Amino acid sequence: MLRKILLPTILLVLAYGFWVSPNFKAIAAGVAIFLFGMLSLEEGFRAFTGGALDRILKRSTSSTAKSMMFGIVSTTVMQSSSLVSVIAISFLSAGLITLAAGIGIIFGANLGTTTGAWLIAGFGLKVNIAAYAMPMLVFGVILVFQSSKALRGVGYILAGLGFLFLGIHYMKEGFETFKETINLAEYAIPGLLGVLVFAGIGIFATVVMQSSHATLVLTITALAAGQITYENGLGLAIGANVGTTITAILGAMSANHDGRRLAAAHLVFNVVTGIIAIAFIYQIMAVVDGVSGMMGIAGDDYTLKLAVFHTIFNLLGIIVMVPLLNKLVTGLIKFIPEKKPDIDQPRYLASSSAEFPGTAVQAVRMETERVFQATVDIILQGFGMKKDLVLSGAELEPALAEQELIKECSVESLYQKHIKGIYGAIVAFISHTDFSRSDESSIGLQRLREANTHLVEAVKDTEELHVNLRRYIGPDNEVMRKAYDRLRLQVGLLIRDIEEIRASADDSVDSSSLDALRLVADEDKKLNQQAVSELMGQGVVSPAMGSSLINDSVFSHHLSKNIITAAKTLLAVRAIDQGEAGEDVSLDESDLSNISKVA
Amino acid sequence: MKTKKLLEKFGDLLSFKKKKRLKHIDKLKSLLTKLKDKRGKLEKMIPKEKDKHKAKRLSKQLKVINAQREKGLKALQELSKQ
Repeated sequence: MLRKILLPTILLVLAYGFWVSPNFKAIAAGVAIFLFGMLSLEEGFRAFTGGALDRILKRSTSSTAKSMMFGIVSTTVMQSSSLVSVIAISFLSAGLITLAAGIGIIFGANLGTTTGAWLIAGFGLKVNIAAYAMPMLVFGVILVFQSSKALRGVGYILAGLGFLFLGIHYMKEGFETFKETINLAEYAIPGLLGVLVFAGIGIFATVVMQSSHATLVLTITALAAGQITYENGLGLAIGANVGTTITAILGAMSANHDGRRLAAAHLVFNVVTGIIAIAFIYQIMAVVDGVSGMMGIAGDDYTLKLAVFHTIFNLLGIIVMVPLLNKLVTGLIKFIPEKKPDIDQPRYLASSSAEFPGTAVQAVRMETERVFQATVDIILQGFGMKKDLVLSGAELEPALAEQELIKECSVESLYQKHIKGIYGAIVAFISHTDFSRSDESSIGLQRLREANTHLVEAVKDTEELHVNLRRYIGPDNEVMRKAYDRLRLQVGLLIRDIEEIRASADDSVDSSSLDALRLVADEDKKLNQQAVSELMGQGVVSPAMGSSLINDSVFSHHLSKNIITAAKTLLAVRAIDQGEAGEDVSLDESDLSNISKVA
Repeated sequence: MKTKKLLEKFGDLLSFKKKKRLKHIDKLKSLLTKLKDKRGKLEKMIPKEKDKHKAKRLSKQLKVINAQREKGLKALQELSKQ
């Protein structure tokens, strides 16, 4: 309801402002161009997310200090704490970083965003910034039309910077001429009350514009033109810092519990920092004066002093919050718990995971891993085998032979409870991604979807087999018992081998181990069918029993093929760095069939 | 002559297709080397393996690796010709 009223209200107010004051038009246009520049910058940096960013992020978030440094550097380069927050939430939702690392990134991003104020106050206002903007726009737009993704990304970044500079130029010009009409400084509110009121205005402006940078630019340009007082400008800067958490909160609404925890951490940090800044405003102002003096900043250079203030109060926030980081993590986990549903639901497929190709693939891979484990559990239950026995490496054959019966289990119910919810969500998630079809990530997602289909088929094969396994694993028919125990042994050893391979480090080479298992499964199928023919020839089993055995050996082979294929896909997606080289050595059905024939 | 070579190198730098192909060749060579090392390890392991099932799996794996190397070497020849 609020959104429906807010937008038309804003448009009406703006329209009225344009009609009343041409100078206001220039300022508003400057803000709009600035915001467009931010969008263009974000678009440009998104082109470089994916493999490189994933690798950098994993390496640079192993400690709180490293995470903070990542936050500082990435925000300084990209000039957008919102984008860095969105990246952190996406990566956290996809399980790529821990909550503590994500919080470290947010802390760092808050400090990194203060470089924006330095750039604007130190450079943007002191030079003819429009002269730099024009060539950037021209080159940027030319590059945007190139076919190479990297060049397009650079184009968006250049054009974004150009629009940023142009926006600052128009805001500067607008405020300069604005004061000839209205002197906003007449409406200044002195003292702490002024700081509080202007902090409120800063929060409102940042929420509306969805950019603390835009609020800061407006503040600095207004301060430079003498349209606001220094103290009121500080209030606006504090408000901008608090208001920027709204972007993270909006982003986290579509995230899982981890994403929401991170957004809450962002809010806590910025609100605490804001309260400290307001409570100790005069003390901090004294520190600012001291630091500015040491840096050679003139006493009346309020724009640079605002930049110093912005950096100092964010640094103060970090100093206060870092020792409390572990308590914050514990508190967030306690107050935003993970819900445990009756039917297994996806954990990583939040909309925020779909923001970037890398996080989308990782999220789907993590969910597919869960489906894989659930499938293995269901297969073992269906075959009446204990997981710890199968994975222990102990002799399976005697243990299976000793078993008196197989407990009944509803494979269908297990599928409904542990797989169907996640599988459906994976398929829906992949269908909603809009990456280019030729994109490496899109291919990865399609393969993962196929892997999930294979796993579901393996479960269906188990359901088929379970009936006869229950019937014949018992004392009534020794011959059939042995035949079905052979099937169980084959599947048990297969699962043991697959888990051993999956746990090994070298993904690209160990796809050969999985292909070898495929050959073993093909050979087992031949041996099983030969054995059945012999048994039927000897008259030891009836035709009905013989046909059951033949069908079940086919189901068993089908199950083996499906689970091997799914495991291969998971390994291939993990080793996506191999790219086309991996495809060049990968063996297809006909290659494997040729090897079998030669054997 | 020097100018021509310089222009060729500059052209290669800007030529994303060629860079991509060279990167592909490097990755394939690295993968083939890993497969060769793995083959050597398997040839030593198989005679020592006492577990029948494991020995069977390892010997199948050796066949698979040989087939993968053969396929990879053919692909490398094709790429190098381009």
